[in-house]
Amino acid sequence: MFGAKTGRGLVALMFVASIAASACGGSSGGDKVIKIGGLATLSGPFAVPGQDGFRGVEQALAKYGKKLASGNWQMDGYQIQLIKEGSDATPAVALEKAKKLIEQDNVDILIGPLSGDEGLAVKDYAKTVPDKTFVNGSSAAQDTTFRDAAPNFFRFSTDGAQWMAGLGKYAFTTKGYKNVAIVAEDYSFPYTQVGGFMYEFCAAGGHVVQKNWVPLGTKDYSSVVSNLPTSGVDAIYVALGGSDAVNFFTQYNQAGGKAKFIGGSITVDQSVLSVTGSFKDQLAGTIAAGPTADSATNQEWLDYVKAYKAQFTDGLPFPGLFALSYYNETIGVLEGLKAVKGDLSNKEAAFMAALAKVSFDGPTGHVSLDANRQAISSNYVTEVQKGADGNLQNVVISKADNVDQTLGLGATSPFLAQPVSRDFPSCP
Amino acid sequence: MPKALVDFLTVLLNGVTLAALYFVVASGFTLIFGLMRTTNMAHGSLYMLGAYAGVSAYTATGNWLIALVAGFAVVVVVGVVIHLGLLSRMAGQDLRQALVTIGLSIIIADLLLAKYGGLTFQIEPPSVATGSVAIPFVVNGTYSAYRLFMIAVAAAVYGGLWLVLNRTRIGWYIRAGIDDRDMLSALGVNVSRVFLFVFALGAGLAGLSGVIGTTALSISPGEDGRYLLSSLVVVIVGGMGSLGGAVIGALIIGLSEQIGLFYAPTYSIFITFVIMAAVLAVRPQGLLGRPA
Amino acid sequence: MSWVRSRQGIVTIVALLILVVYPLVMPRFWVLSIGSYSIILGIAALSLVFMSGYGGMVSLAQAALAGFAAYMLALATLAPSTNATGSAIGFGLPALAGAVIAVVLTTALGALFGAISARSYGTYFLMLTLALAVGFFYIVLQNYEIFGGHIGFAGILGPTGQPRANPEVFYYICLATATAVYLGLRYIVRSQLGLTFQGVRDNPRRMAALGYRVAAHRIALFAIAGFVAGLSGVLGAWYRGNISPGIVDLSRTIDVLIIAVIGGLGYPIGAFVGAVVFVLMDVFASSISLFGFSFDERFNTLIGVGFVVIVLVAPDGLVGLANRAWQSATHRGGGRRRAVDPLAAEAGLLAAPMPATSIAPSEPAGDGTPSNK
Repeated sequence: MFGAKTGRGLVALMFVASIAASACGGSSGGDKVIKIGGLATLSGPFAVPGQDGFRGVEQALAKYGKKLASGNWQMDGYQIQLIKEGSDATPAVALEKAKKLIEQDNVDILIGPLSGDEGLAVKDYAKTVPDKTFVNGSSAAQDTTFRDAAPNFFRFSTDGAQWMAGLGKYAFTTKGYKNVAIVAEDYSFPYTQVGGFMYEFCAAGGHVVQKNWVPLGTKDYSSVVSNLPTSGVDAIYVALGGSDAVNFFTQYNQAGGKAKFIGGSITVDQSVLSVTGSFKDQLAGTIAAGPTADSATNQEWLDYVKAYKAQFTDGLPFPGLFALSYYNETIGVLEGLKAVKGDLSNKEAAFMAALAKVSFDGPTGHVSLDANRQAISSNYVTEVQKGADGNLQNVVISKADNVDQTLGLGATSPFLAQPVSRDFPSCP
Repeated sequence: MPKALVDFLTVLLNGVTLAALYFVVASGFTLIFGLMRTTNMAHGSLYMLGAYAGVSAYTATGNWLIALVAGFAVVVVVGVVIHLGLLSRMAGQDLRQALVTIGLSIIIADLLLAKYGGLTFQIEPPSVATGSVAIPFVVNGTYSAYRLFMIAVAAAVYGGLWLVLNRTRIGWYIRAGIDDRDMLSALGVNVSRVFLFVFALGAGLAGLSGVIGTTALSISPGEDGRYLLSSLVVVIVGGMGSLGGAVIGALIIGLSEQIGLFYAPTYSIFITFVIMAAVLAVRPQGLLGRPA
Repeated sequence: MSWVRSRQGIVTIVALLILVVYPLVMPRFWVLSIGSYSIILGIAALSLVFMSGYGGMVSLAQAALAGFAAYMLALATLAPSTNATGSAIGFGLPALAGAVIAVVLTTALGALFGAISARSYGTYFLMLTLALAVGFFYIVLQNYEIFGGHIGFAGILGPTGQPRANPEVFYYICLATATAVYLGLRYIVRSQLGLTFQGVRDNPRRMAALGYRVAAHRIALFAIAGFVAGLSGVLGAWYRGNISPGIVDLSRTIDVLIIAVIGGLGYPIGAFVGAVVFVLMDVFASSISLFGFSFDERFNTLIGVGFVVIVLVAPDGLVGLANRAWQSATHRGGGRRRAVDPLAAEAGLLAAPMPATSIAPSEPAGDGTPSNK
């Protein structure tokens, strides 16, 4: 039957294909419509951040335009149509969806994706489509823009190393931590975060005496806890997120550990602090850094949070890091479009030139782009403290403005001579 | 005592306590397979369902024991529905049952994600097992009370199952059924009712272990695949359908995972699979399994 | 009867013509992301259908084998460079040479998997291959020296460069490969070796008593399936331009089985039907809405329910379903007495009772091979 039934199988195949082909017709005309593709994670563990990312996109659109009955957004002289696609945080799916948006939906501008390795894959793809504009979502790998950049890829959010700005110095100088051990997940995002911390911490004279890279998928950290030095370290730098952070802190606590913690940008965020568990008793005093701080008090931030809560009744208590990143990226795009009055002719050349010059005051501070089309912006150092109501919250310790991708070290610094990895940088 | 030895003893204890959790998760899986030859690929999703049910019950009452009972009971009910609605209609069709449970696991996981979102939840241990206790020969001189408590729970589950299987009429039917299903049926026993009992019990054990695991670690999306895999590996190594095999399999996997994590973290999870492949290459039916 | 036969011939020719003309009339996205990608997934699923049909071995290792081929291709063809840990990787070979090396090595890995699992049967075999697949996932995830770790490798180029530069050419490469694999497997199963495979599948003890080396045959079958999966992996790597652990993770591993079951585990063409349906659902799920309920975010529920329904009502998949419809439509014309393929009979592998309107499993196979019942 490898022969006999071929015919009917193929008929079935064509039947399915023809249904699908008829199901995807063209869309209607009208005022000039600019298509923006949105790409974020909508399935798997990162579904919640992905939904929040899309809230950021819509909040920016609502700030600049008016939503029409058709679902499009009316801007000054043109309309914007937003087409959303969801990935599952793997580079392969992100690439599939990016291709679908660019090649099937014919979007003019793509905003996304969410996570670091997805961003690297989309950047590589962007090089093969030079006449379309790619704007990052919240992906934060250093080399999306720092090494081998794509001329049509723009990032109005900061990277995972920039998110550490101020932390290394603060830990060494103010907290007096001289020797630190590291526990982090074994892939690129934690490498970038650990690297960003070590740029400042090592340069200030600190020592990282032990690095524990824990394989992705590890949930029982008890033997990692057993491996941590019981003396000779002043603090443990923990770059884990969500359930991994909860598991580690719980087991460290149950094993009777007493050390102070330093956190990555998602280690002690609300998703961890809102979990009920006795592990949290130990988190007071943990310092961390990141591009947002719930407790910031500048007017732009307060307005932004107010607008977020008004627009999204089903949103998170505070717009998170992902909402802010997507928001800033979209503001960048809308500013660029405004500058060229929605003109995307000539392979979007004028638009891309205008986009590279965009700068604005975002909710957390001034945003501008460097020569690699990478954001220079603000960063917070925070500390977990017990609030008046007894709940833990992140309090702003300091804010650094205009942080560039080298954290002020300059591109020729030996710390930036290699991409971050398990072994680099190093200061034992 | 030299530090290296203290380290090693601590890692051994870490492995044994992890093995206790793995045994409780895998016990329901191996029980179902032993009698029914059904590979329940939704076992991990049932673990997750029990965990979330326990979280809801714990949030409402603050009582660990009620959470444990809730996790068990909810999944028993779901197990009964799955068995009556789907699996009993394809009795004896091993592969088709496995495929249906793959579909079910995808649905359950997605609906739980819709209900509970991507957040992490944890259940506080019962008051008898909070904090750490002082014991000799371990790092720091203290150890997690709840992890030691898990060993007791695993022993209780093993003892309970042993009693059911060896000291009750239904246990007698189950053991007879494992040996020869047709003969049991010929003796006038209502085999389908025995099957229903076993599937509900096995599913309930998955739900129960979900609460136990959520107390020791936490629950969040993606845990289903992890515990399905650990159950598969434990029972493949130990021998499918054998309770004693599940104990040995859980010990081997728990110990290798923790020893690996301490001495060779990069490949700690991979080592588990090397052990499994090695066991099967030598003994395809697992260490204590009977030939297929 | 001759009427039926000639009409089938016409259908086959028309179908092939449409497949050939397809890339010339469809937009690029449909040529690459739907057409070529479906064929690539279909080849992977075909390797599973072949194993289950002729060896009774339902394997979950096919995605891992395809992924291994992609990794080997990347290592062979990427320009020599230094990776994160400072060791040199990449041999800079031409694309086709790399493809040959990748497929040969994947065939060898298939044989190795076969050797490990040669004595396992049924669900044991299913779970053992699942564990091998997951073990492979953890190696490539954790190993930066050879496999590039969590990020993997990018910049893999096929013999025609970027697929999007010449979509039609890439599509034809995929189509030609699929056709060659299809015909090649058909040749094998009709040969003496194919008969032996079926004997080993149906009654390993008797075959052993007859002097056949059962384990060796099962290893050979796994190796052939590894060869086929390797071709899929090479095409997939050219198609994506990159390879990363996400391509061999648990859900991708199960996807191959889902595709084969949707199409029909007993039908080689079902692998491709299943792949087309799967890809279309995947791409357009966000556009589907029923009664105002969008499947954008609940895509997995949609997939899960569809999968359960297919296993329940159509144990031999969409092709089996279409087959039955065809059978009842041509019932009067004596269309029932048609050559029965051993694979079709092996739809009984799912242990589903064959419906009366379908091919009777007890009929002897048309090419003289003994059926499994």
